[in-house]
Amino acid sequence: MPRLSRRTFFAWLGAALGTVAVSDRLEGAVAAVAAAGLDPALLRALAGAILPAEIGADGATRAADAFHDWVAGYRPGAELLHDYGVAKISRAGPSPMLRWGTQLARLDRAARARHGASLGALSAGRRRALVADALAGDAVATDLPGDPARARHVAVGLLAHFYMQPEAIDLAYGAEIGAMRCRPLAKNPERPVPLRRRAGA
Amino acid sequence: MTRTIEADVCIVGSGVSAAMVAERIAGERDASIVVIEAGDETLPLNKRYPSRDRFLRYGESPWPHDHLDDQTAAGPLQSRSMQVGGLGMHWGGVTPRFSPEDFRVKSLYGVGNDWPITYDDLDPFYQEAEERMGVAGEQGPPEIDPRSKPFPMPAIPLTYNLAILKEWAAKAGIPMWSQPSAKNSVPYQGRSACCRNDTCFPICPVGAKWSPDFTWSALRKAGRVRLLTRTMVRRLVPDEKSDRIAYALAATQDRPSEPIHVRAKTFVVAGGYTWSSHLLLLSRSSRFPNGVANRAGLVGKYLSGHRNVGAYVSLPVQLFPGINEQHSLVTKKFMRPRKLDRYVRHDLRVWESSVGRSPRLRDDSGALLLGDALLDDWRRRTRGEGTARVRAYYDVIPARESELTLDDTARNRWGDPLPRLTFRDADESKALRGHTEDTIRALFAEMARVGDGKIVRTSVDDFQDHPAGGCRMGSDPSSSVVDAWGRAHDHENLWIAGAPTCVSGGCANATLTFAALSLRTASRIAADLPMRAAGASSRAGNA
Repeated sequence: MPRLSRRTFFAWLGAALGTVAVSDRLEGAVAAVAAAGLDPALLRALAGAILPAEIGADGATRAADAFHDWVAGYRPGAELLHDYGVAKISRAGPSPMLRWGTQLARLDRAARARHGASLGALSAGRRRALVADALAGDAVATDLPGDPARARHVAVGLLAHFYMQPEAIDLAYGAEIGAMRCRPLAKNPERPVPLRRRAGA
Repeated sequence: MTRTIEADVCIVGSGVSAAMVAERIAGERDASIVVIEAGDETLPLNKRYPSRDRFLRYGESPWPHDHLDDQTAAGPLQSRSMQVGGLGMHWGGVTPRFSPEDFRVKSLYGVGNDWPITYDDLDPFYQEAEERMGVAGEQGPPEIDPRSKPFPMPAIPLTYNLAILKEWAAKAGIPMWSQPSAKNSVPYQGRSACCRNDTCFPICPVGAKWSPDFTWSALRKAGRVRLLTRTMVRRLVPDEKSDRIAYALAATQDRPSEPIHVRAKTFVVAGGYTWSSHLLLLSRSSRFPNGVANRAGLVGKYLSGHRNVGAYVSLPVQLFPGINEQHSLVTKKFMRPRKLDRYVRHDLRVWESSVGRSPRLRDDSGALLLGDALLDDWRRRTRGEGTARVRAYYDVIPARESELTLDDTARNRWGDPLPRLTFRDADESKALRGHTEDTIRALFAEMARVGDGKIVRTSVDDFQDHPAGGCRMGSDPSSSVVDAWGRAHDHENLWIAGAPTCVSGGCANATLTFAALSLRTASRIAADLPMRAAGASSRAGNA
């Protein structure tokens, strides 16, 4: 997965800051952060540590890349579903990309400072410990947020995104439920069949 | 410059009620029909999967441009939806009927008001609505779920989960069955069968759930209606020399300062519980200072609905949430009491749920869960146990002051005051509220007990669902707005369709009842129109 282009990053930055255009002066000031972005390699390293080992390295990569795509597709200000009984129209907040990119870069710096190696070079256990330290300073809620964008830390966002997928539900229940997928109505009465393990997982 | 449109029948609105009226009249009568919708065209079927995907991934509204920014209401507005199809584009598709008792609560139980019609009067129109929409269902025990004819489609099959929960309910002495739904269990009228995408609310991506746009597509293709979009009816203007409505004054979003006069022999206001009363009240003049159809002062009054008490029950049964979460069990057992010491009537529905069994970041000791620990914790909490969601809608008797009024402090782009909604229970309903909710909570507790389960949490939603009223029907013009067919007492060529004509909210999802009432209204309108000759060419309103 290629890294974000500088042009794309600044389009997102503008959206994240709620501005239409980013001035040249602001562009210079955030150049250091822009260089990090939401690094796909760091995301994969994070996923490999905090997602369940049974999905394997390939599964963690797929999850990380899917999360990256999810962030890339986020539309700040998009109109949200308006619920019954409420006249107010709600809109999506700013993109979490800038905040999460900064946190991801910070995790990597912590890895280098503590262990002399990048995040991706550490064992899964050491990566998890760094994440736990990063989350220790925050009041982390008990539940995963239903909307990953609400996660205060990129690790929680990645977890929320992974666990909202139908595949994760199937993993938890050990059964091929296939929630939210088009499935024959005639199979409604059947107990979901046991989950078949994906090759490489 | 004023543009004039003429038709035999002018229908205001394009939601469920409007679609039923138009389809009934167009199908059997030789009449030109113009339909006026304030909002935009709706999202075509071939774009609904991508739109649904954005909803699932980001919570975005799957219906773009489905409201007007300056057309809202203060108070509990059911929905901002204003587009072709109205609220019917994102309804859940659930279609129970009211029970016979809903129409006779005064006679049977000494509360509220009787309707001027009985269940038997509405029965043939319920059947017609089910056949026009395509409702899949099964009859419950005949003594509590009477029907004169079968459903047009077999029931949505109970899921593995619901079969287990049905047995649980039976242990508590509660017979339950598959909820009737306007969702195809088999292909129907050119639309595919349901395939459990399970986003019925807010969007069915395959067209298995009926929505008004399918009716409009067929009528427009056949040239049987002319549907004007982005056109707001601002007033109904009576004839100067009689009480007949002469024309509807309208304007388009695109040319807001150019008036349109829609002249018709018959006007049908089908704008739902908010916009129907709103239009009548806006139609003030020196001859009708309180608006049209309002000599009795009751337009906007007696807004009704039902309130819900819900709970989540943890049970020692293995369930698999996600098989078909939006489908449910239903019973009418508690809607049909023979004798009551104190009035309590409610429906009951049961769904599978995953509440209390979602993945979490911290365990019970507060320790952070990452990696295998998170998944292992989730697995432990879902093995051998499941959660049922139970919910009861209970009947609320409306006060006269449960009302829609005009709010002069909030106006739309044309300077028209917007509505303010205030729901109020009648005193007799307020006095019963505690007893009602305690009774329902006790029922949930008993259900949990017989299932060796426990209540996880209960809730009461103050919002009155499936709101209706504002133009209630009745035989006496001094205490009602329309007669038993929906004709305004004050204007012989003005009809109100569906929800606004309800006397009470009942205790079941009401859309099918709104549709049946609309078909009954349409049947009466149609009786005064010439029959269509076989093979007759199409007629829509001219410009």
